Amino acid sequence: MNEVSPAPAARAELDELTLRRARKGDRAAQRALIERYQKMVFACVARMTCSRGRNAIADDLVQETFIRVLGALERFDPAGDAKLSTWILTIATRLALNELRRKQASLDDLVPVRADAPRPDRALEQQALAAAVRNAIAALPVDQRAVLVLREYHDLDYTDIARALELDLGTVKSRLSRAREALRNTLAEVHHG
Amino acid sequence: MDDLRLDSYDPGEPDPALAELVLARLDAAPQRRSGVRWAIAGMAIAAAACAAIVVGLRGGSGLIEAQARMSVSLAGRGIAVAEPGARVRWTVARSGDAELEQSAGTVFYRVEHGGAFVVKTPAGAVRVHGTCFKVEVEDMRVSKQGVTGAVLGASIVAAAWVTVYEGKVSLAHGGGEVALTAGQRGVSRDGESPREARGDERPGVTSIDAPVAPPSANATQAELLRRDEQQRRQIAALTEKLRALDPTEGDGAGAKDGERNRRENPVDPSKEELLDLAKRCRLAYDVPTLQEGASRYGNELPKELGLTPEEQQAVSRAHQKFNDQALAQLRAIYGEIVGDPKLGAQLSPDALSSEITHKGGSAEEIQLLFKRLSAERAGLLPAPKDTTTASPIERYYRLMTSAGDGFERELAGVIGPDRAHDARTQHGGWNNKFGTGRGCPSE
Repeated sequence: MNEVSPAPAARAELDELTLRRARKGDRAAQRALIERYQKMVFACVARMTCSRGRNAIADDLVQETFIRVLGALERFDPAGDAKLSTWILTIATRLALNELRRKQASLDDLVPVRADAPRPDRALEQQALAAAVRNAIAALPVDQRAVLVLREYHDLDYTDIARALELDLGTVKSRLSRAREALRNTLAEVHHG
Repeated sequence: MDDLRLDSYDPGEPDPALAELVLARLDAAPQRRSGVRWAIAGMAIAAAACAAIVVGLRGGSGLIEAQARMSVSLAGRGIAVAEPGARVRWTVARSGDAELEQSAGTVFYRVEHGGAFVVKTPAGAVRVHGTCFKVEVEDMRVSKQGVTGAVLGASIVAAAWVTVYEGKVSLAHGGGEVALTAGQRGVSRDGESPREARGDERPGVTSIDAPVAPPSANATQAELLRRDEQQRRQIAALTEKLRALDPTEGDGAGAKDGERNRRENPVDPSKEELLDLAKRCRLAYDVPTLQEGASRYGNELPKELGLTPEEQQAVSRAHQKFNDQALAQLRAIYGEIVGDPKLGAQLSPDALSSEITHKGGSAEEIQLLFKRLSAERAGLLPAPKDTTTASPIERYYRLMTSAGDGFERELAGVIGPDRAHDARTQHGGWNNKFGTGRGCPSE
């Protein structure tokens, strides 16, 4: 198993001037903050809720994330350990976890992606793979799913994940290991079948 | 984990109106934290005066009372750009069905798929089958004093005008209905079946003879703005009518094509022609086809030019480049005018032009602009060296009036200057030829 996932393209953080203005309530700066991180937050929330494309749950969670982010922005310490993006991901992940636990929303709420769904921009094989990955992630317990999403899709290191989810480092590693193993088993058939 | 190809799971894109929705929620109810499901929200669009919205999981409702131009997201079903004086109450059900009651003013709509979308006005309902259209509610309070010389009360003559830019809409009222497609306009009035508007009909044009009643002592700013808009329309309609009666005007209602072509040549006008245009504050210009999608312009040029297949492809590529640059500029200009850089992204070139010329400036501003531009073209005024700081409407007309020459130069690099010029002049100019004016400003 490859322990080091490929690092996604480095996220460009919001510049300091815009961040300072956003903290003071400058609407243009707040808009810039949202636009800078909205794709990241949406991706995180959508994968946490195992959705594809926009849906009501994901849309609301993303909105709520930014409401919370802007409400608490004054308390964010730019000189602290966490980058702004990590701090925002923390809020998004916790909100998604709370919602999933509260509603126990997982596969029950979602329509699995059909492998033959008409997507002219994608080859059928890729569609099938995407559906399989999504369904495999959806089958994970939400606690494992959160660790996996933050590590594999957002490249957070173990320490950041531990801080974000209020876990000790060992728990992060064990959950990630179990999540990877489960994914590997679930997807083995797709990849080799 | 890269062997598992987790990246194949692409979650998609967030709501394009996300920032707007979040900021609206912050503005409306910063003290509320009602959880994920529902939130009370109000819109805070720059320069907007009054808009309250309830945004839900899916759907929402709100009231738009615009005292300045404002752009409002309709709970994922579309965007409304309301002009000053417009009043719209809107509801989007969780099913996605949208129902709007537009009681006054002018509103441009861009509609997303996702259910029924109906705009009700006092003079008819507009049911949308397409994506882009504009509704103007004409709400003329006509005092009978103006007609009879005695105060007998007042009546309201309401009309709904619909301009379709893309897709289809149907306009229904009192059991009658008319279907309108892109490029068409329709009108609906009390006591009449809705119908397609004639080419020279405009909101207000049919009310030239109906005086606008004086404002009441306690008139609101919105009412005064609406009254001002009505008077401007009447003045514009009268000006248009006068021009149509003036035999010296080229594109008046009575002008013949031959006369227009003779008088307002968009290609290689003589010095005398340019001076004549300047005297009348008019512009004559041609613009190559602007379109969305891949260009096949090389195949559309006259066979007499003798282009080889390779040259045709090269012409298409040159046109594509020109087209994309011009469209990007039009969208940027429109974004500046409406205050939303993303709004023009889904408008067709025709819709963009129509919207820009409608919203870009007052009749007086455009008259002054035409006077200056026509004088520049005639050599009576020097052209400015830097136009980047000019108003959006000025940049629009500069872009349009220079497009013909610009494309000819572009094409000259591909098929040579002689054939490029021939391609342009075979039919008296590129595909779209304009001879246009708004009358000279009063001194």
